[in-house]
Amino acid sequence: MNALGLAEFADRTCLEPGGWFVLVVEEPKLDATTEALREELSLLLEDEGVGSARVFSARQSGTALVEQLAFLGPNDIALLPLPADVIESVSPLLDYGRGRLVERSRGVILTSEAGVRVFAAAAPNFWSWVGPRVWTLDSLAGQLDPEARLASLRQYTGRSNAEVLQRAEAGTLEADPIYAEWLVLLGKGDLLGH
Amino acid sequence: MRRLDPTGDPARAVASGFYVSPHNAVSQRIATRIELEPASSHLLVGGIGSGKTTELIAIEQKLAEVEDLFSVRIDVPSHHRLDKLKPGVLLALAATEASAELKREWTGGVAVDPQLLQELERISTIAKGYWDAGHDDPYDDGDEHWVQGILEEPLLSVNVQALSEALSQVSGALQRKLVILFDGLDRVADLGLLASVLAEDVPALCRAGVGLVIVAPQHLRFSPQKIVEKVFETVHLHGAIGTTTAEGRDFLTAVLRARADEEVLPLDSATALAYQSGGLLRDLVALARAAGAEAYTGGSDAIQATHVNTASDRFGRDLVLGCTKEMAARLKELKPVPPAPPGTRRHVSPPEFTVATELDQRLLMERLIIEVPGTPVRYVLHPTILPLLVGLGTS
Repeated sequence: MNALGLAEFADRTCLEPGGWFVLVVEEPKLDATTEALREELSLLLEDEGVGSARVFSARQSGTALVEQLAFLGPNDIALLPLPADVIESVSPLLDYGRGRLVERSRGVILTSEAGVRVFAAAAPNFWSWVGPRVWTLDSLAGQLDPEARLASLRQYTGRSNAEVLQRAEAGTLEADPIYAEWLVLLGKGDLLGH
Repeated sequence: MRRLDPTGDPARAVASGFYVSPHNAVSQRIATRIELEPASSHLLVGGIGSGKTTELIAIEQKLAEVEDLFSVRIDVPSHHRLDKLKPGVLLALAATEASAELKREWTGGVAVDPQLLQELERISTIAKGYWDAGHDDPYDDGDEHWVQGILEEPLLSVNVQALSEALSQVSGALQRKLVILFDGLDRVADLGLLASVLAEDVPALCRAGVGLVIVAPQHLRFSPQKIVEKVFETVHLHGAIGTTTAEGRDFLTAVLRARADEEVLPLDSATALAYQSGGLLRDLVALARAAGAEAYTGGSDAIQATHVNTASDRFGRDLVLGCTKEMAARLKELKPVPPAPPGTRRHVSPPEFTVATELDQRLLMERLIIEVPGTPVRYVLHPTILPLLVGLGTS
């Protein structure tokens, strides 16, 4: 499955006005991921100065849900978590109401892998609309790989770990943020300020 | 990138000059027939994302050029809940449009029989509902209560026959012949319900002299409700454009060219996108947009082969997410086998696909298999899923 980090997924969502996305999430993480994405999107929209990210509950009449989604502004982003117990009943109503969302709102449906199969079967028109906008979260994306970062620092400066440590202990290491990061990555943050 | 929007309003896309008429377009055939026989009825069925709405808009545009015709395109789900669909809904929508046109003619100075104005009132009450004083009700509490019309949820049975008669009178009094293009009924999941609506409303609309084009779902043709096609004068299959012919590929690249010039989308990339789309217009535009996003994030000003490949791979992976193990097994059975070199072993073709089961219908509805109209109708696997079939259904 196509994977992205949360921040990059939020970026892509903001880049596609009118688009609907599906984010595949493990069922127990549905609420937490929805909230994390809402925060991420809110920050991006705040930077743009228009629109807001709003979470909608699928635990209401499907028709009322479509009605609410249709009233979103073109710059708003709807977040719609679809848990396993409601996805089968809500999907057909989203499919029927799809036309009401044309050029009105954009959004993200968050559901599990099993939920995607139900959605594709019960809302085939909406599913076609989503097209190549289905992603899963890459939990490692955005996380620092310390070894890779140290290798990059060594290549950039032409120095070895030992040389940097030696200079830090001797108090001759330049006061540059990249050396501070280097020491922290080596677990020698205590040498900072020597 | 904005021009490559598969989710945009088709009417706006057509108005922006993005419509490219396919060879032997279904819109041309239906519009010509309606010009000759304004009160004829036509069923338009076809796959999801094949451009049925766009063809309906093209019909509307062609009919707008005919002086004595007045056509209205109605997206049924925008006016009525599809899960509450019932016989009379299409009549009520058509009658409401006919009433509005008659009122416009009247306010424009055309003389209208006063008795017809009563029919307008009758149409409005039956279609939209009314406040009833309830004097005939022995349990009347003295308050008025709302009697729901056909549109929305009915509380009382309504007189569809009366509506049909009123429409006949109003439609017959119009200066121009009324043609209604009903869109959105292809989203009705309950084919039994849809068939009951068509069986009742289409003959009534025809009796009222109203021309009709109705969009219906692809799988109606493979269901026991297929018999309802008989209430229409013609049935048109609209589907994917064949990508195996130069004509088909030229049309698909022309669709892309209307939205992106050669500098952004070189011909080779456009041709590759045409092939990968399987000839489905929405998928074509969605793939082009995805390839454009790849180019943009990669810092390229033009969509290159590598961007098309990445977008196609991602598209295919998304499509197969909807696959159950049973669907995966069926798709593997149908995988095309490359011809064996001469003299090595006998080439075994995969079985020919026919829509025999609900599983087959689901494969069509989810666009894993694409229907290409023609003689005979062909079925092909969505090109973006072909490289993924080997590993499909194993996890």
